[in-house]
Amino acid sequence: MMMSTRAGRIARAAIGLVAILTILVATGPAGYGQARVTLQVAIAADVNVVEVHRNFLGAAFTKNHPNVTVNAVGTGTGEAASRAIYTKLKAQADAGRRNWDIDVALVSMRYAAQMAKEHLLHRYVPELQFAPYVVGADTVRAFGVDVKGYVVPMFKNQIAIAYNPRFVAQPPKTFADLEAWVRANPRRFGYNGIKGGVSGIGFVMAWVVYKTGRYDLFTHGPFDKAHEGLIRGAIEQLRDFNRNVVITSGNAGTLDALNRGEIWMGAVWVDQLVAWKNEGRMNPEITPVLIAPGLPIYPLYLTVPREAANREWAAKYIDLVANPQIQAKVIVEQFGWYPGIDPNRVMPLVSPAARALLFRGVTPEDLARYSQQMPLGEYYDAILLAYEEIVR
Amino acid sequence: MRRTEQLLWWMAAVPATAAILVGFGVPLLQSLAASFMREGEPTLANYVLVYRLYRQDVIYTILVAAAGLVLTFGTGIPLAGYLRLHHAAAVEFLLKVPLFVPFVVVGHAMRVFLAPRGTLVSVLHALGLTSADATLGFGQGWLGLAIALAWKHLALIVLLLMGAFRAVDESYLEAARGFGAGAVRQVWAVLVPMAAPSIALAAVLALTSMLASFSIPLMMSQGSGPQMLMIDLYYRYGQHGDFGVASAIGVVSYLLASGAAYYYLRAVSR
Amino acid sequence: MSGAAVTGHATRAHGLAALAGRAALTALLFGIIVGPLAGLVVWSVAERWHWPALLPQDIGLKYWARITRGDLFGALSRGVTIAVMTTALALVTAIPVSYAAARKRLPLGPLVLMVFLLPQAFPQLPVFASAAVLFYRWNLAGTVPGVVLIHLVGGLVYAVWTMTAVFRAVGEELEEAAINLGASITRTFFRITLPLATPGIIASAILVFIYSLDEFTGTLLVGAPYVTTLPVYMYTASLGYEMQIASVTALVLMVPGVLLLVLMERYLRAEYLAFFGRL
Repeated sequence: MMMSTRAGRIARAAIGLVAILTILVATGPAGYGQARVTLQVAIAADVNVVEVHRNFLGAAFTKNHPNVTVNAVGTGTGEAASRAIYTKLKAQADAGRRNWDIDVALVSMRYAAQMAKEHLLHRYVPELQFAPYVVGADTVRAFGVDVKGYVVPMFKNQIAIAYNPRFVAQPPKTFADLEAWVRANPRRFGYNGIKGGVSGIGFVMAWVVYKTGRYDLFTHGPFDKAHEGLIRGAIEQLRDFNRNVVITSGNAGTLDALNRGEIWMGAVWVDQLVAWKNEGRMNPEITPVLIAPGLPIYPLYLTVPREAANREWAAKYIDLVANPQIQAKVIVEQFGWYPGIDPNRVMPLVSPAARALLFRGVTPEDLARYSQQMPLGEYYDAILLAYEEIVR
Repeated sequence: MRRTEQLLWWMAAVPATAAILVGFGVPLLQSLAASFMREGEPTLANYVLVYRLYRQDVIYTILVAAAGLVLTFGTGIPLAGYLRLHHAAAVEFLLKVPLFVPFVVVGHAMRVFLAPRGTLVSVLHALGLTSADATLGFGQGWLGLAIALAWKHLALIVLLLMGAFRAVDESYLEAARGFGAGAVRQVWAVLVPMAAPSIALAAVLALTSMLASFSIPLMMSQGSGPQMLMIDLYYRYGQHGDFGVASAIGVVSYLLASGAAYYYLRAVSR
Repeated sequence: MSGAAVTGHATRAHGLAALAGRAALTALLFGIIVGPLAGLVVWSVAERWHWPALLPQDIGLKYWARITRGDLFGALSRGVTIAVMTTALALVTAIPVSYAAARKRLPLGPLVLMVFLLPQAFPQLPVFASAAVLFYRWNLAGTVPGVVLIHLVGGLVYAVWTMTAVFRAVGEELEEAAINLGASITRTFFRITLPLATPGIIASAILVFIYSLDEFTGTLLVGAPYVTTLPVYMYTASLGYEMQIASVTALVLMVPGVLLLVLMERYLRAEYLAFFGRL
């Protein structure tokens, strides 16, 4: 076959290129460094969290254990990011694979609960040096699922109402105050509904608790479909509330609108508010408050998949993150998050200046009184469904 | 020898077709099946939920796509006609640009451009056409979406139309000119009827693409109010892992797309 | 040159009015086409931009410098690699089909061509979501081959349909002459048809490459978060209201397309696309 024509040469080059690329791709990731360990850390959170692992926690760990490289990968934001990790682990479990490709998974409470329920997690907490410091109701049960021994919160995220003092002379102290304020100042309060992020979802959950007064029922059960009427009633009132409200496109949307002065109050993540201020993307005057009866706190959990390839190293890594020194210096001081482990162990190690910044607007007493748990999984789903149908 | 060669050529056609069947056909069938299943049981519950939650969004999706189609062809046909009758290299070049701008970039660019205090407002203000605190209202609603969709599809549509118009022999146009037809009449009375099959195909491609658009609405959507169907699907699948309802939404979108394709086949087979 | 096609021929524009008309049209079109993109440029150099200022308060290249660190460069190189692989595979697999279809030797030819149109004519998201479910099972999800396959599914139509039109435009007479002189089908194809069809093949390669580089939906469902390309990266940045990063990424994403547009402008002749719709 005469392939000396230009077309023939092009064809050969193309085939050669495809072959080379295929070989490169096939051998690329595998086949390097069997003696070294690469710890795969999948992070279902914003870029800033990924950078913490990459630049601080991972680097510190490698310094202590030079044969281990930490590969931190972000899987996106919001619940979908945690879902991506869950789907991958479930697929590997269903296929009966050993040596799963994620060693440490930082996921939202909801998916950690789901993964625990489906036996996708390794019970690693008892192995930790700092296991005694892992305390709190949310380390025992999450969304009604038993998670004790499977999770360590990396940090806790509190949802709060952020307000702009230039336009809001008297911040609201209760949901009733907020309702009245919104009626007097239409389209100056914003949150992101239920589709753009959990800050909005948390607000909706808190609203239902406020209107029904049934916090214990929704958080501890039992689940009874008969209570859906309660939920629908609360959501119908939310629909009316929403008429005077701006629904933003996500967690970041609310912050952006606050910064621009488009809204004067909004439902936000405290940590995201602080991060934006540090990056210069947020007006430093915007202050968070908690309002009665309360707003949810939502931890991000460090988990180890059941068949992770490097389970022992994963546990050691999480031990590093749970170290009170790290929690104080990195988690709290540097990034303004609430500690994931026992605060009594961490806060004494935090500088007074950082403590002042952390608790500006939301004091430890406020947290103790107004920080709520998320509802049981079934009630959580029922509330979201009611919102989707009634409020749209 | 000849027969073997022919056989080899036909076999060489298999990988491409196989890729489509495996990568598209099988998932398509799976989604059809999944739309009728819930927790392993055959049921219509998914469709009931779609009706309960998303029926307004079906109407909204159709309206936005129709508006986008009107905008695209409303600008595209005159432009293609102009380019058939005149030589304007700069215009031709400009019109090819959206083809090379990815869908997501269009979404983000339009989001910034049509934001309440976005670039468009800034430009209008700089030109003295609006006041200092004017805001753009329609950027995040159906009109903003339609504009973004039309902008992106304009390039391919004009390209297709130009190809079809250029295939029309000059003699027809000369004849029309001989009868005193101006540029507009030449376009509408000669070019459009003669290029009708291509226009129909372009319209079907554009409409189904807009009905099924995902990246642009994803970038531009607001948190509340009606959404394009694909956004609902993504929410159901991505946030809830509800493959059943997501597939049901998918089937509804297949039906919408098929409707358009059916009209095309009818038009072409004439 | 086949008889039905007419190469674009300038008709005389008489007088200043026509010239002014063309200038006005060009200016208007410039505003419509370039306007939205200009916003990206401004945001990409805006180091600080708070409402109510009309233009950024601080301008600089701080965010452009971030191309060299972070995921942006990785996402770009991954995207380009995947696009090259997709294009090569698409061309190689599409040529036999297109040639057979053009020469009307493909059984159920029009039907087969329609099959390739399906991924573009049908809503992609539900099918790709379903494919993701399957790919997870086959351990293809989150891998480069998986993403290439999903790009191939959507991009093959550009290769197949364009090349069918191209091969049809290359008249059969030359091939028949060669075959009558005793050449095999394959030899005729490589020495006669392919050289004549090269410009059109380059055109279809451009279309597939651009499609793969831009591809978002399939990559989001099948590849993300483990294999991210630039569009997915841009989406994440825009979602997080990192407007500068998103705009820089958007402009970077446009560079290959613009380069190709400028270089290959002459290959995107409308004639090749004129045969769309003529089944």
